[in-house]
Amino acid sequence: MRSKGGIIIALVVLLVGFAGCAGCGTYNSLVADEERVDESWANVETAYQRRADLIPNLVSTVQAAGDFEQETLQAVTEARARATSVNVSAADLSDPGALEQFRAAQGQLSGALGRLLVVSENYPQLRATEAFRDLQAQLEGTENRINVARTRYNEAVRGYNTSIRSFPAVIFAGMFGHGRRPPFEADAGAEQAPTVDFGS
Amino acid sequence: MAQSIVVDDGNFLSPQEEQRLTYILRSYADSTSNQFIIRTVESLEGEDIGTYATEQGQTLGVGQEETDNGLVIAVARAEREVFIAVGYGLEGSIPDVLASRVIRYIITPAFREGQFYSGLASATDVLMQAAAGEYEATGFTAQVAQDSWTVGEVVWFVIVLMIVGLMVLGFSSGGGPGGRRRRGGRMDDIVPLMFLLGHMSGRGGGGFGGGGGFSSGGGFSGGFGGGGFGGGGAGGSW
Repeated sequence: MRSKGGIIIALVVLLVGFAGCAGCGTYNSLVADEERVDESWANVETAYQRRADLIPNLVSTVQAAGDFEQETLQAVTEARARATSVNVSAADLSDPGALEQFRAAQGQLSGALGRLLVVSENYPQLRATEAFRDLQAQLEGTENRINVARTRYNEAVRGYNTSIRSFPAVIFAGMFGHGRRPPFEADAGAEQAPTVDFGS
Repeated sequence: MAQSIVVDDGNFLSPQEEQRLTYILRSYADSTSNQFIIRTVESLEGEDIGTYATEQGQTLGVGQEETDNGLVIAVARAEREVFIAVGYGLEGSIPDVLASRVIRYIITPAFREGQFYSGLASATDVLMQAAAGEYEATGFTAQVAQDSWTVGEVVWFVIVLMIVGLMVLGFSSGGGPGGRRRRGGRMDDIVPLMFLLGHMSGRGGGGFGGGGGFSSGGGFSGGFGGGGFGGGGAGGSW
């Protein structure tokens, strides 16, 4: 009788041990996936920061060209101030509300920039200047980087969300606070507004 | 095919022109480690040319892995669009503004006159000069040479180690109780040794894989290095 109990205990210990091993491996890969999400978010923020850094230069170039619509310029400056004040730290990435706030602020800036570029069509001398063309190229480059960073972030999120719902992980992912992460969707307006047209 | 330096699916170049560009870009890569490639297509079928060029660079891994010094020039016939995608490591020497100027002042005017080869050749010339000196080719070629040497070195190292190990074992087994102790030590010696051997031969294998790219004709010596792209560069249309 005692030996039978001993065997059962040994079996249970063995099973728990195996589960523990499997759990460790899965846990480690979860951590790696999560790390990838955080890292690609940092790239998203860098890309947006790069755009914000360009704006003072853009505004002064446009102002230097003469009587540009003050309203449009002011809207860009204000939207930039608002956008740079909204930051999402890695800890807030699981909060869809924080992401939404960030997206909205950046979307506003995209809209204001888009309007500025549309209005600039009325200033052919400005558009012909080398400085303005260079700024357009830089602005387009930052939009490209934003798109790339956002796509890669969403890929990382998709990979992570898949692994937390896969079999061994799904049991304990919640226990260690590995919740689902929302993707970072671009709003329809932000997608098209800043597209720089190389119309010559 | 995918390993080629120039892929002219859009039929902008004659076979000789394609060869000449391939030759120029390959020698440039050999001396600077910067990998530039050209991709032309008939149509992008709705894809954004910037996304296409960046994805090509990223998925093929153009440029070296450590320095990300790759560059992709993409040309689309139907859309009449061109894009220069710049790898992370060249964004400093080829900023978006320079890429944009190359397109505005060199590529666009030439392409408008149907001078596709001269447009691409002069553009790559300017870009090559801008990126030259950013990274040293010696880093790359020396690394390849080093890899192939370490394989030979490791073989000798292992042989010497085995002889030394056998000698040590021979001495200790004569030492009675000391010999028993050494038995545990013997496994400890062999395990890191095998690890080292496995590690080194794995690296050697990578070097050989690179050699395979050499025979493909239109590719870089050593193949694509695994460089990354983050959306840098500029585009335009003619």
